[in-house]
Amino acid sequence: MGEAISETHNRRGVSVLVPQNSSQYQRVLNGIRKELNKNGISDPVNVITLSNLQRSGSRVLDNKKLVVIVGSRSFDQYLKSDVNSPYITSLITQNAFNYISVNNKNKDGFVGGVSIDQPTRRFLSLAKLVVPDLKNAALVFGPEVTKSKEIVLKGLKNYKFISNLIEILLNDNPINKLRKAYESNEVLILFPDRKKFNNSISRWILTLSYQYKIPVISYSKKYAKAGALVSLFSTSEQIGRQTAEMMISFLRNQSNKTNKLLEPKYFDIYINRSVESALNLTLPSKFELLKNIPN
Amino acid sequence: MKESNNSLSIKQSILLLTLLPSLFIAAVLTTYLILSRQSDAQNELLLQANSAITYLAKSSELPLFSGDKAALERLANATIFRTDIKSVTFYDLNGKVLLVFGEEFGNTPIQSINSPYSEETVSHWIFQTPVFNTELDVDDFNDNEDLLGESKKQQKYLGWIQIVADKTPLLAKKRSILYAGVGIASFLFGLLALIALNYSRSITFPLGQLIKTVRELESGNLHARILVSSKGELKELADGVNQLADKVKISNDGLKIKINEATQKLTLTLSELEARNIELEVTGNELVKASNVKDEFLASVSHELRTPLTSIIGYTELLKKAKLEVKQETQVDTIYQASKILLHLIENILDFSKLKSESLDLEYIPFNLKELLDEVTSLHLPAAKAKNVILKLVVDINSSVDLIGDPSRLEQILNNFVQNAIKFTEQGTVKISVSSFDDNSGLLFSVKDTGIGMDVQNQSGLFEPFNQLDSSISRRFGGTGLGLVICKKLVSQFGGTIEIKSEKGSGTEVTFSIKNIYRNEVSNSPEITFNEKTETPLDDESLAGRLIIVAEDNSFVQKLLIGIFENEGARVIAVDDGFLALEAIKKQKPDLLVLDYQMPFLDGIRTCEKVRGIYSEDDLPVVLLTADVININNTMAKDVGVNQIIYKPIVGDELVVCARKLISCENINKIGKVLDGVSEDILKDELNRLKKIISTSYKSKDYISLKKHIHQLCGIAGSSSENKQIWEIAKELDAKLNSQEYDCLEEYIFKINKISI
Repeated sequence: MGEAISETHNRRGVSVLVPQNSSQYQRVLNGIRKELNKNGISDPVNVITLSNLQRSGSRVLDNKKLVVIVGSRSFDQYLKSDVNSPYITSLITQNAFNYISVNNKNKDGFVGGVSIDQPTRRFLSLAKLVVPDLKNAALVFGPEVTKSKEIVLKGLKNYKFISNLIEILLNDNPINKLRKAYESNEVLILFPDRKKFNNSISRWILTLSYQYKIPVISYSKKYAKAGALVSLFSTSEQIGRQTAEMMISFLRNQSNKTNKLLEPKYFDIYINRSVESALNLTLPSKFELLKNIPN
Repeated sequence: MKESNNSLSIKQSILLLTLLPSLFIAAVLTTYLILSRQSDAQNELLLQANSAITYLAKSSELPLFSGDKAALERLANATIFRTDIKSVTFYDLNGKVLLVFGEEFGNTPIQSINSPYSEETVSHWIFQTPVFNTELDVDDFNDNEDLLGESKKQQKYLGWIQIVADKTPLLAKKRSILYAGVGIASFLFGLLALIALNYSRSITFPLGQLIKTVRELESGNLHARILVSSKGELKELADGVNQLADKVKISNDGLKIKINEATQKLTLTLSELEARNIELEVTGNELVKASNVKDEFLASVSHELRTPLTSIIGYTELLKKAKLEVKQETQVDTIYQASKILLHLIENILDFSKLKSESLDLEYIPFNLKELLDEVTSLHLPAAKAKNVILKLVVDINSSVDLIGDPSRLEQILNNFVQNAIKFTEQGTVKISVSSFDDNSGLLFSVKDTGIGMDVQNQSGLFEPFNQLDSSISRRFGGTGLGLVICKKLVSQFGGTIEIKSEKGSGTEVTFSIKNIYRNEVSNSPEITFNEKTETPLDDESLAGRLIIVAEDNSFVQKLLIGIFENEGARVIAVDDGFLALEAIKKQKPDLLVLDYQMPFLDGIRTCEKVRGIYSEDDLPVVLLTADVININNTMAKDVGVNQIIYKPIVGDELVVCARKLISCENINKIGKVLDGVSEDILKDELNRLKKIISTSYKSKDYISLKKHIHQLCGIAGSSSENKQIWEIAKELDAKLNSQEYDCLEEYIFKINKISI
């Protein structure tokens, strides 16, 4: 990260707490800065890593106008610290947010947050766009998502196709369940679960997708690159941009708080054209898809 | 041309040089290619097996995970399609056999859980590899999982695969590679051998022709020629040999002609040489004869000159002793001096002649240096006394004085230098010094006088014949001018050098060294060591009362000898030849026998030889007189027992001194006198030393040594009245020794030892 970490703490400024200096968090910071600049916010933004926090103590974040917490690890460390500045969480899943909040003491000053979980409606809209004659779509849940499946499935009745819920638990043979899902649906929609589960099952999902010639709609760009037909996701810059908007709103008026984790406002689509060709499908362009997916 | 048994012929060499490296290279290359190709075949099999099992491991993930045996069978079938893979076995997660496809090779357990494994048996290769579920990272954000208790990425086993590759095709392939390699190498080697053989024949055949022709030429058949059928260098060689044979033939013919011519010339030359040789032989004989004639002439002249001179000098000396008028004394002196000069001249001319013709050889006989020095000093003492010149002898020798060399020539040199020193010294001293080199390699003599001396210019021509300082010297001092030349040549023959230091008005010192002189190792005489320098004034003694028999056929010389000895108080019996001398001796033993060398009936040598059958050298001393300085052989004279040779003309003083020395008692007295002036302590030391030697000699029954040292004891003891008692005992002991009465010697030895000195 090109940003110098000042040892002289500006107690009146804004600080961003990131887990580490990596390109992923740099892109979030870029999104934040770009948006702040665009809106004429001149407050300096100090970037603090978790190692800085551990080395210098919580004073580096004390008495700030606002602290932006990027990532679940940063959020966990922040809640464990004595800092009492207003804060915004960003780049975090709903599950992680809930888990960390439950396992740490409540801290005042929560302004709001930006989640990376895409709302189900966007995947369903995308599925309809990908397979216009869609009648049956399989929604594949992992063991973690299954626990809060009501939230995920809220409002599915508005769509004119049948959504079949495929729950794959830890002790299941995923092959058998996936074969059935591929055999009775025209498209598989994947929902993110824990990383281990996602990675271990992804190979079978993609292999069978090719075997059954059934497209897969996934939640990450990497998934699409690995073999899914199309992915819907928010980029780091887009999360940063939305976080910056929340920061601007708060900095302009301290009472502008959402007090909850918002779904990502901005998102992107990636189409694997090789898979599209292999499955003998013809998808609209990326912009066409984005235009027709409701926010 | 001979061929060595150990060397190879050209044909063999070509074959060896061609085939041996080729065989070696072919063997190496063939081996390398066979092994390489066999290794490639094996590697190909292993690569195929590894590729197959890797492919299977990747392809069978889903069937293994889902337990899809049909799919596994399809995969196995596709793999086993290769002829060298005989079996594919799938194992499930628990290591249990899920499916075996192909030939059964038994249930091989999983050997390595985490990594690929391979094993080679006699007929197969067995490969095993685990199958993993390859996870895909499909999350864009990786931050959340650690907090939710997610572990790091782990490999998940799905099962194992085993394939068995048959080695039979591989072994067959290896065999075929081997056969093909060996076959090709053998074919190429055989081809090469044929080419090499053919090539070697193309070289050796013409070479054989060359050798055959050269051998014929060597054996003399110069018409032999090589039939040229080859090309290139061999053709050139054959042409060259043919041309060489042509040239050799031409040259040979020419040489024959030249040899014939040369032989004729050589024959002529040999004839001439033979004639020359005969002439030379005749000339040589004439020269020998001439030389003999010269020697005889010189001997004759010597004898004929010396005999009348002996009479002249002898009678002159007698006249000098008679009462004469002053004028007559002057005339007699003139005659005497002229005679002496003439005698000296004759002697020098003879010596010079001998030295010049290099016919003078040094003798190597034992002699005693002290005795030699005594003789020299005794000879010159009268002349020195007459001029009131003190004659001193200084002996500084730390080694034996019993030597081997030529005493007469050494004495001649010393006499010459001492005579010259006395001659050129009007007053003062003439000192004779003798010392040895530090390494005992020779003797160093010095004769130093306080005479008139010489300047540097005059010294340069001293050693030239007939050269004297100036005519006045010759007139004043006499001399022939040959003495120094002879001395120089004699010293040179002794291996030494002469050095003269002289200053006009102060005197002259002549130093010369003698090298060809050796210590007499066989002598029983003890070493006589002079611990300090002794200066010995010398004097003479009388022959009064002694009986001397003189044998001389020349009546004038006989009368002269009678006169000389009677003047000294001796009794003389004169006879004309050797036989008469022997008869006289038998009647009465004289104290001295004087024999002329050349006498009728029985000459001096033979007479002495007979006398020695009666008396020993010590019992009866013999003096041999001779005028033949050329033919007389000192060694021969000594061998027959002559004590002293005196050359004519006889010089009265010389003869008297010699007689005194030889008559034992007189000699002993002389020695005693000689030792006058020696310190009392030295005298005592010497007497005690001699007593010890005498005792030792008696105990060892060495009567020669005993007699010699008894004589020395007599001489030394008789020199002092204090030692009269020991002198008297020594005299008696000497008499007993002479009469060989050895039984009573002990009594006298005891008496001598009892006397304290």
